[in-house]
Amino acid sequence: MPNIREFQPPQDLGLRPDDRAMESTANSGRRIAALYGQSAEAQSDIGRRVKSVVEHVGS
Amino acid sequence: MAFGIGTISSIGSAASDLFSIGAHRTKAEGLRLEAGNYDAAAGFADENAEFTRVSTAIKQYQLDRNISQTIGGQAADVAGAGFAASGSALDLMRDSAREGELAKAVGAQQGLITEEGYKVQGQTYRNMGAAARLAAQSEDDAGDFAKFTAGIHAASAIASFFIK
Repeated sequence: MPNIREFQPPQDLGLRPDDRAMESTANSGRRIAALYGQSAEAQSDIGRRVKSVVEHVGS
Repeated sequence: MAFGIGTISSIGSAASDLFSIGAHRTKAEGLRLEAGNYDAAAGFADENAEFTRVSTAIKQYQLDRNISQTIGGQAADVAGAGFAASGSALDLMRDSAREGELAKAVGAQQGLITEEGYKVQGQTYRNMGAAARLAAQSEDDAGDFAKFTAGIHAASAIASFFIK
């Protein structure tokens, strides 16, 4: 019987989803919001200092 | 209300409130960015679902092919004859060519998927870097302002020695 060699693709041929984009995007969203919160807190701190100075100088 | 301690306190509170406007705006901007990132992550999850659907279709196709091969082999055995340059032999060649093209296309698509994953990951790190720099700048500003207010407090304390 003739031996006809066939092309054999890999057994696990298929697309594997990549979670890198999804996970890094969600994680960075949380981190960015926290960093913006930190920035906001620093701005509030300036406001508190201004208030303190005004009250101190005025009294 | 006559001018007095209450007035001074109100002025201070007004100044504090003015700064809180910027603080709330910054927080809101951060939350909107977070929401946008969740939307984008949802889009990537949808893409992964589509990749999985395509992958399942490929596996189904391969299963069909294996079934056809088995049946073909059985038919050949039953016939008890070798392959001629027609019929089954040509089918096998066509089948190999199709499988080869499919394997190439799948490999290329997998490469694009992985490439996109790394690109998005790189961009998210850059975004986090920008946000961290913003927070650092705000902390610097607060620190610089603290020096200024410390000076005023100190000057006020010194002045209090001389004011009767």
